[in-house]
Amino acid sequence: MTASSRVQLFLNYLLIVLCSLIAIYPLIGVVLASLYPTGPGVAPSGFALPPTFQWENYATAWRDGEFAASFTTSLIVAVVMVPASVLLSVLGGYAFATMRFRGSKAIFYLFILGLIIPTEATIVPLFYDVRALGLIDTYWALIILETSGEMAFGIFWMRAAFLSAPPSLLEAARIDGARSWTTLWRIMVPFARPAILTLTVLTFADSWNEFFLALVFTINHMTAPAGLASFSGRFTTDVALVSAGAVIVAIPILIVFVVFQREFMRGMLTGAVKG
Amino acid sequence: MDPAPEVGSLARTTILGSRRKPKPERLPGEARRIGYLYVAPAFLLYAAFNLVPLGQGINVSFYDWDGVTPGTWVGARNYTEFFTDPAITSGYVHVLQLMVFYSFLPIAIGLFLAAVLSRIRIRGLTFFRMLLFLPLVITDVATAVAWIWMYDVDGPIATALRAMGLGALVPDQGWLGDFTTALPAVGVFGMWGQFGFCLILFLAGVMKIPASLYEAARVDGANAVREFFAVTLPGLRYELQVVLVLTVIGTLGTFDEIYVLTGGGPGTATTVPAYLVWRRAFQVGEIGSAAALGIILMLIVFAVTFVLNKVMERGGEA
Amino acid sequence: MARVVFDGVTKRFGEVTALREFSLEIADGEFMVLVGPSGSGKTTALRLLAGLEALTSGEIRVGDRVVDRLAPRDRDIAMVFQDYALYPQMTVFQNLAFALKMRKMPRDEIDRRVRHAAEMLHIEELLGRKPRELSGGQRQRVALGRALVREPQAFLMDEPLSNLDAKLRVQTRTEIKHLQEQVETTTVYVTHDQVEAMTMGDRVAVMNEGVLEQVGDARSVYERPANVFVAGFIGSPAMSFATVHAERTGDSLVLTRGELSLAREVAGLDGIPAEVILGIRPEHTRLWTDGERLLGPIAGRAEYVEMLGRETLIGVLTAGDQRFTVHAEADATVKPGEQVRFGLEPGKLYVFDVESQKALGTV
Repeated sequence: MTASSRVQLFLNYLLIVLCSLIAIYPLIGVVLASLYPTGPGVAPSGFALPPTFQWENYATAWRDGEFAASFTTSLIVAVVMVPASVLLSVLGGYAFATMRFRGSKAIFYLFILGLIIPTEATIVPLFYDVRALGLIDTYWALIILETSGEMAFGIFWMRAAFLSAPPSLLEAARIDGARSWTTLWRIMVPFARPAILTLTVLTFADSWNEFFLALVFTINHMTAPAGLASFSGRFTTDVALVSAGAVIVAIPILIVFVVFQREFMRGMLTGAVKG
Repeated sequence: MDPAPEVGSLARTTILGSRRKPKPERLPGEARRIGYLYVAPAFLLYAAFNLVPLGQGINVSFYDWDGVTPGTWVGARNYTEFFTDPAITSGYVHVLQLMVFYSFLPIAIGLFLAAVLSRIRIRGLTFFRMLLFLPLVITDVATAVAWIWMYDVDGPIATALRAMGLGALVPDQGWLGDFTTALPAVGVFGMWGQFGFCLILFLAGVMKIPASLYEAARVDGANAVREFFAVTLPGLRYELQVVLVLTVIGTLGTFDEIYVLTGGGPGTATTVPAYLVWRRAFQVGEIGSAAALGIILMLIVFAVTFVLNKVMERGGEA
Repeated sequence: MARVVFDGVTKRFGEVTALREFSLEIADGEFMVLVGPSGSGKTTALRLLAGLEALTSGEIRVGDRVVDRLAPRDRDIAMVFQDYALYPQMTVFQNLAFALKMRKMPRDEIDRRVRHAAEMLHIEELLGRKPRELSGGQRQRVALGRALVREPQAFLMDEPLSNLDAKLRVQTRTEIKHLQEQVETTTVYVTHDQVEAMTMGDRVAVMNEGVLEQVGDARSVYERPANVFVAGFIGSPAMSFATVHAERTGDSLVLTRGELSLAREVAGLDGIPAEVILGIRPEHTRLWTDGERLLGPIAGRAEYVEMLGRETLIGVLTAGDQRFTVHAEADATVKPGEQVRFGLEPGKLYVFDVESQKALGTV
């Protein structure tokens, strides 16, 4: 390797390490900050280690932030919403990809519309609709709204995944005598397993991270992000404690991300195809 | 020979009116109506909780309503307020300013870095990619909380500045509490969140550009800058379009971080359209106006998407 | 009875007519090859038979049952796809058994059929593997096996050999033919490779631009082509063509063009038009030697010389701008650019009508 390209390689590594540090510094910093003594006072400077590692802060934050409750809510919502959303997307995407029926194009475009309709456009009437249904502050409100909110992307994603199957595969199934339901579950779903996994992971992330809907539709049964926002609002001056809360809320999705990195990347990078 | 198929298709086209496009023929034994069954659950849910409320929202937007007493019809007043109400206009001005941080700067930085980093392959890229993606993966409520600490008067940024003798730059109320610095502070938060994504996307795109193009440019005597404009930038046209649309649309909908970082303040220094919708609907009680603002936001998103796509397509042909 | 009959089948895709009044009768147990260049309609015909496309007009019968309205699953046909279309997440066994499961066949019957087919194709050890673990040749056998287990009235094969390398192709060719002879199932086989067609088909149907040009066994299609297209498509290296002036003088037919002049005594061909297309296969040409009974000589310049081992092919350009591919012995020493003289074997010249392109006879 030549000297100049070695210098270049070194600079490259330097650059990317620098960028990565910038990306994670606030996150590492907030973890350190969470270990400081709690109570109102001077915020940690971010350049010194805490005098002692006060791990008890996490227990305190968990208790005071009522995260047991909000985690449970988030979990219940996600556990119901993710499979439902993925299932509906698989069914719909399959139909759009493999069947021809009148108006299918129009219906599909209606779904695509959902990709650019911002939540704010429908949040106001939605609130009153949900209230009329008596579902304010329930798990169902979040489950239903998050699921319907995922339909646009989910259908788009699964349709694209199923379209990538070679047409001869579907033709072979037709000749073999498989009907649409069998073809879907015995052939297409196994074929599209990576795409389905990616969708599942992304949908889970969207659900866990959802804040706006939780803010509007829950009061006492908050999800984790909403619980954190409330916690932060109540203990604004206690930097250590609030930081602990933030870390608590971030951990589950962090774990999922580390385990399913590949799916996240694939989803976020190729999902950006819809422009 | 059975003439029926010909007649049938002729009848179909005339009965359903003249269509320029011939209808797709029915394949023997093809599943047709069952398609509706597969799509129905998703569509019904979507229609009920996305499309219908949209219509309702449009309806409500023409009224002056407090959510409790019956509303009064005001026609397009909630919409004309877009031009007259300073709160609304300032909200959009703010997102335009935020766009610099959320969209243009991360894209520029991402492009530059991708061009620099592409020249030599880096090992362990997966690990770095993971780190660079983290800011976007974690819920923005949590990352915003982290930045509340970052911007604290005794937090890391302030401490670092003081150590460099630039302590005067730290506002008394902290960056988030100061009228002039609050919005840029939110902007920097956004930039921090987006730049990793842009970098990774552009890096992936750059790696797809065939090395032969760079070699040809080098043979033609191009230096690094020329290479960038002649090979890298055109090669990233698609990713550029995607990122531009995503980040611009994303900025228009900014809400979570405003709520957590500044609550729209100080004063109205950091109000954005989405926050305005929420506040008017759920705090102030101007439901009709809030609905209209939501619709306006949607229309602007549509328009921006359309324009951006058209511009990028035209630029591609050039 | 598993005859397959295409009766006046026409298929239009919008403005394009892919298949025009296609009529063909395939006998029970016959191995019929549909051959032609891309766009000839051969694949369309196969897909119409399979039920993967709907016909615009005409009728298709399988075993005396009209099938055009039936779904593929009800037509009692099995298909081997060009890319094999194996179900990627199923084992070979499951792939073979799938269609039978769809028909709710009892487990032991499925088992018996699958193992029997696996035996015939020598893939018993592969039954537990997944398609991605198999080589191209093995996948192809599984694709064949999938059709075999169905025991249908007809096999449909869509260029099954085109994804194999040349050597494997030759080997598999004979195997497929043997297999078909064993099971005696009517087979419709599509290919663009005329060598495959000639070696495998009981009969060959030559197609071009949606039209059936000629159908017959290999020998008749080769020795008695019905028109210019068939004559030029079948046989490799291809027949050489030249447009010449024809004139009957007494008992002889004289073909002339520029410096080229051939005369031969022939009977028949009385109403021959003034201009015809002359065709001669390279193997019926020879470098000129005075002793032999050859028509000619024809003189020209060697444009290229191909040494093929068992023979040498010389591309000759005559003064009249006609091109001929001439056969020479393996040890011929002609070099490109040289002048050559060659002759044609009498009785092996074909004459075709210039307008209709139809064969008029041999000279």
